Amino acid sequence: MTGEAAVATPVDPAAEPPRCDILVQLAGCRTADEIREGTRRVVDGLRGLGDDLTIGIACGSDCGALSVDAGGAAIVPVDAAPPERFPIVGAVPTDAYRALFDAGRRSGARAMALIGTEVDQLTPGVARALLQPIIADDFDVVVPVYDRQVYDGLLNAAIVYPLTRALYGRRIPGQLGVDFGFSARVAERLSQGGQNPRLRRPVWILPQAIADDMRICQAVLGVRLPAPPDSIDLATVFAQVLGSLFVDMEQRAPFWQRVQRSQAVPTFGTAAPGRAPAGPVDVRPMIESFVNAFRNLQRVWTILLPPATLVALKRLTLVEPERFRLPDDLWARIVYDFALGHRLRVINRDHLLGALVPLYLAWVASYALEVQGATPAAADVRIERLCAAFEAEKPYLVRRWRWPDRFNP
Amino acid sequence: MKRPGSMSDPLWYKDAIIYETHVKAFFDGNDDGMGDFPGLLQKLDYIQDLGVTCIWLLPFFPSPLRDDGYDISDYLNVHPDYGTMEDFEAFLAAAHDRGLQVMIELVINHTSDQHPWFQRARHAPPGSPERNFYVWSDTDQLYRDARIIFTDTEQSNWTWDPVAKAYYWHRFFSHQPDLNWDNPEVFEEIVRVMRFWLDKGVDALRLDAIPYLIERDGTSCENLPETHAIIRRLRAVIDEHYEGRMILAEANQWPTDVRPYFGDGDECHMAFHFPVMPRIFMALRLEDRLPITDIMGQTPPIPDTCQWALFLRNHDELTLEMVTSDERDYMYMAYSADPKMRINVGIRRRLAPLMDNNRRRIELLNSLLFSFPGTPIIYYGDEIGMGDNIYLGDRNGVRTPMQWNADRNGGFSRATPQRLYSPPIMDPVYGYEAVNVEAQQSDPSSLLHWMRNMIALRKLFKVFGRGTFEALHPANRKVLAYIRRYDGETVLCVANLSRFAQPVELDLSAFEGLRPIEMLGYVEFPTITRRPYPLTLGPYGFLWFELQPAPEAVDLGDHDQIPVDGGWVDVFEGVGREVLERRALPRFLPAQRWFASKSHGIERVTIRDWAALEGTRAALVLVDVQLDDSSVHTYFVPLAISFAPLPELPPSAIVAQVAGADGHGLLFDAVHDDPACAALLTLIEQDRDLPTRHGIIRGRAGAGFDDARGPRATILPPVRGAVEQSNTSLRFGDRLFLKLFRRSQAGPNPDCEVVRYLTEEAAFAHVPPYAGAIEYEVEGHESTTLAMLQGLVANQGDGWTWALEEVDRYYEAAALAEVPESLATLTSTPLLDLAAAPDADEAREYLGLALDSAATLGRRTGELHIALAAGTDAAFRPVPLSGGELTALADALRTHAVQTFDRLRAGLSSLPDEVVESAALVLGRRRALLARLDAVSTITEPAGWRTRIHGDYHLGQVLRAKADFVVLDFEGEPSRPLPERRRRHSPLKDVAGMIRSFSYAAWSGAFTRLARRPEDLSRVEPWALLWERATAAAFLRAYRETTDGQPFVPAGDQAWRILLDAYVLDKVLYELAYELDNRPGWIRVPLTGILAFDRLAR
Repeated sequence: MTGEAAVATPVDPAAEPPRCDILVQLAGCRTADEIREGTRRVVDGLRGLGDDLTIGIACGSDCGALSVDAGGAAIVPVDAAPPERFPIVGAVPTDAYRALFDAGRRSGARAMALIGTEVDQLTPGVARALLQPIIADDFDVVVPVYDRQVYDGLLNAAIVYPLTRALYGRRIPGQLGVDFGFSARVAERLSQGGQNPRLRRPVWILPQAIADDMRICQAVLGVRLPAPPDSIDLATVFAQVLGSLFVDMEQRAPFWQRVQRSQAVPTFGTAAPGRAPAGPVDVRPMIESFVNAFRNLQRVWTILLPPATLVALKRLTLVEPERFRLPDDLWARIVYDFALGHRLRVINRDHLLGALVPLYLAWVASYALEVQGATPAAADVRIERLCAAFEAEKPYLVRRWRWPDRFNP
Repeated sequence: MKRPGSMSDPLWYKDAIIYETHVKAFFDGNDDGMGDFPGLLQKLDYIQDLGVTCIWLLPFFPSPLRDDGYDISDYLNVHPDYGTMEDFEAFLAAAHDRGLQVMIELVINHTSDQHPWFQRARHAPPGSPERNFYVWSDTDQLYRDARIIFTDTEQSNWTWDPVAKAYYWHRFFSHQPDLNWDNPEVFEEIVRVMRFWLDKGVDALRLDAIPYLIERDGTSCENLPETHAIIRRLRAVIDEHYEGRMILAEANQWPTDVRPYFGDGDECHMAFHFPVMPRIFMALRLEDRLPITDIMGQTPPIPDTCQWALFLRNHDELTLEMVTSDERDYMYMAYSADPKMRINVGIRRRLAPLMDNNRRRIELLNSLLFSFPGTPIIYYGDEIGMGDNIYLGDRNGVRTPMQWNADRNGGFSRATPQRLYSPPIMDPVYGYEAVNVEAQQSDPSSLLHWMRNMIALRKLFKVFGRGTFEALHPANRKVLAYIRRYDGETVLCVANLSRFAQPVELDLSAFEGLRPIEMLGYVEFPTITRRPYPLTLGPYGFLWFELQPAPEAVDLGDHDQIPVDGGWVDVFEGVGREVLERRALPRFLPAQRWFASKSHGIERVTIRDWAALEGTRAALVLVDVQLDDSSVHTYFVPLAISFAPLPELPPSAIVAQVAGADGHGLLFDAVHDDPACAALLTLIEQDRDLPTRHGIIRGRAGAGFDDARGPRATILPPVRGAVEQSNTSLRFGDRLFLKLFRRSQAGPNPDCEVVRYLTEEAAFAHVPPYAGAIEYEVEGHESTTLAMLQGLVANQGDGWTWALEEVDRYYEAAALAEVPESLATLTSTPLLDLAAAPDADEAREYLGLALDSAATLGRRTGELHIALAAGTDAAFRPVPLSGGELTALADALRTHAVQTFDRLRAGLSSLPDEVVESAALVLGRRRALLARLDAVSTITEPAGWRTRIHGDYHLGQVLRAKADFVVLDFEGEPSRPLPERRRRHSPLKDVAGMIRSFSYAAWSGAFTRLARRPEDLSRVEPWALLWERATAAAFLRAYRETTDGQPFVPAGDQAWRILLDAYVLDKVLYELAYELDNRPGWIRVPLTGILAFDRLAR
């Protein structure tokens, strides 16, 4: 790659960006020092991919005077805020992914990466893992595989991954990650969205890529997914993540109704063995929350859930805490019923998603009791069973989606 | 300013669902009694919610309204009754914001006689350009061959104008003079009009009455070539300047005559399929599909970019122009008995009244509308089943106000009712109080909900709008069936036109192997074969099926087929996985002897983990089986693939068929594959690790492996065990014995644990020596023992077989002898006392060496217990049997006994006659028997220790090795959880088990004899008692001698007696429960045992 250090001056986003083969947006780096260090690590990581590859670093137009002294990279201005960890449902005026794609197209980049991992965790291997499959093996989307501990990414494990796997037929656990690689084809396709709100939501790129039959793979990054903020409010997260997921689901119904089974995608790299198992979790507050919600939210749940599910939940409220188990098939049907209720707008959508929170906590409690003392590998086996249940229950979803009728079992 | 259309897909109209409405009829926004654009805008949410995609507005231009707006007096404005141009623009923008397209009328054949053009023309001199805007003649004899369309009101297509002093031409009402399209200025003006509305962003134009543009003498004045030329020029303007727009031809003609209106894709994008509509009604009434299939057969292909428009009803009469006169008469009789219902050449009724408000018929017809090739058009109000008013003039009876709720004016307007442009429907059946949107929105079973669901369903499948159409011709003509295909999607639609249920057999052989999935409920129907496919439809029923590929290729025999070109990944993670999980394994597992969960149904099977076995075509697989009680059991199912014939493979070992580059083969239980079996041994022999997807499989040789295996150069061919039980056994030559534990549970396997301990720590020689094991580990979890390897011990069969042979010889001898007098003593002396004395002479005489063997077994059992009690680590360290534990033991025994007695009582009526009395006697002794169990808690002497024991000790668990015995199978009861099977117990439990086993051997032999000669019962019974008592006594005597002084047995006779009696009673009750469930004919054995036990106690 080019060895000249580029000394950047404040740049004009409207100006034609410099040409580069690879464009990387260091979304996890905020300050100039972080950007410099991140750039250095990215450039180190991409050595060996090709001597004549040029690298661009996309950053905000207020990069300021930025000198890059680690192997050289061009500065490509983009008008984008850093991507939110959990995508906002409403349209964001500046869309980090769209900005990256636009800049990538204008730069003629063959491959783009958006790296949200913060600089303290960022290794040269991260960039390499995200981009090598695109450069060397002609993949279109590279999804991250993070080092996962037993209780990491529970929303993803409980709902997002099994649901999207059943819907779209690809086993891709890492779609709530913050580090992705994209090919020029993806950029071309997804930057055509114009005012289409669907394409303005960054995280749900994968269903579009699947629908367009693009080549998707996973890459082991060797880092952990950044932890969510402590102050995170579940109802807000549900509204942002699940709300957009359910809306996207509604729009892609003609596609996912035809997907009958899931398949694995190629994975580059080998995950390191998980560390010591997490300690026990006090599940009583979660179970109490569920039991209270059964009383207080029954009117809402009755609108969304069929009688058989309600009876099963009632039985669950009576079980001793140590035997508290939410069966996988029941949980899958609950998620499907909520997705359907969201589509039919049977109640205010934010209220609907809020009503799912206690049920989610019941799942977390059940999961925590089952995987107590287990390692990440064992926990993955458990999630695999859950995913199988979602796939097995998919006809339930399709049937009710096609013919919404509350007079059902 | 030119606005773009709202759609970028140039073929959007193929997927559209059009909603036709009149502005005046939909909703009154200013309470003047007339619907308007502000009102229509207010109701856009309703239209959007219905799911339609395009709104077709009937004419809203300034007009004298003598033909409901089709008599236009100003093309470039909005009738003030409907609002202003700004109102229209606001409506259009709002519609586009909701993703709705808008189609308006372009009435270019004629204008109102009030149009300035006509007023100018009638005053202009003949031959002038202004005059020539219309078609004039001095006589009414021109164009005599043109038919009159409005036959009810017009006698001629010419009308005399006193101002112009000439006749003017009109194909419709006399107040609608036809424009003269031979005048180029007319074309220019109309183009200006067209562009005016397209510039505003209107998405589509309906060309009203388009066949009649040009007149030529000596012709019908319909469909003339010049007319098409005009349309092509109009289309060219649109194509040049306006993307994504559509023009729809209203040409009420035969299909072959409509075809030219598509041109070569350079005229109209769409055209109404008029002829099919009345034929749908006809077919329904005739209960015969022929009118429909006939007209569809006459429908020519159209260009790929073109589309038919389909409708059931609209603002006009149900036109019967395009039918024969007989058909017309039939339709009049069928649907308009009252002549008031007829107008022109048609019937002026809405859909619901035509169907006599029959909900099934309405649904059936709509199902045809939504599944026939074309774009469906729904007439406003038909989605809620609105009625009509035939007493209103013209076609106004089907143009009444939309019914929104049960309030005044049906919620259409707040004006006083007299001001309404038309009275609403008010009769009891269709009136607005009964039929309205508000009521149907709150009724989930309403027609409105049904229509919404159908529209949503149709929108999921492009095949309906874009696919081909192929009619099927089943013998039953009351059933209409057709195939729609598009882009790999195939849909089968079947409709019953009859009011009665109908059977039908469809020739679907072209779709052999595909699986019909009923689309509304996503219900799988049987896979299609070459045979006629039978269906039954209810009255007016209809079915839509997606034809999907069956899960994997074609079933061959009873087995699914899995592609294996990609290796094991294909099988376990690719397309094969679903076949395995959903079909093959759920079918394979219950058929296996070792499958422990047969009493439950299988809910789901999941491949938990797997690894390919190197150097073989086998893989080691762990499978999770979720049962219908929600429990999940894991099974070890090694699998192998072979493309070579396997003539000796039992059919039950086959899991699926496979297909790969090597041809067709089988996926089967790998224990039937010699290389796989050898590879399992190698795993152990070489201490190999085999990474799986989620963990690791480890083979580990035990300390005694080399001794057991013998010289490494010796080949040890695998031999499968003859009898499959809960485990699978493999013998390697005559040296080694591999036991595969089929049901996998995490944690130390007691069999493996105990055998290893006895071999490597206790040096107990009377077990097959431990040689190694295969373990499965997932980090952080307890390991799971998949298999155990032991040295093979030369033997002459198991103890049970030996005992039966002995018993058989015994009965042969005893059959000729008198029952010994000492038998009474033997059967009335407690076993412990019998064991304290030497063998009775009669016992020695008749049982002979069997007594010695029983004694040997007693000794070995004692030695086994001594070895087990010597363990010092946590898993084996014995624990004194405390008073508290005795109490808990008594409680547990009592609980089990109560349950068994209850089951005996419940099953009493179904017992064989010959044992009913015994069963009743047992139940009568219930209290006394329970007291024997309660006595355990009264033991005051030291009662011994709790140690690791065998747990399931009986004659089948020992091998006869010359004159000695070797003990096997320390698994315990496989159905019990592992922790329970590793629990410590008093060794007397094992003793009791073996004592009962002797009893079973005695009675098994007896029953064999009695099967031939049932009358010998009274003769055989005492001998059976002798055998069982004598062998048990010999066994017990030797056991007590061997274990005398050991702390793990009770110190004194009282404790011995009570504890042994309790365990024997518990064991015999266990047998009773088993026989109740499995072999009612054997209940005699445990009943006899209980009664003998009780007699002795008394």
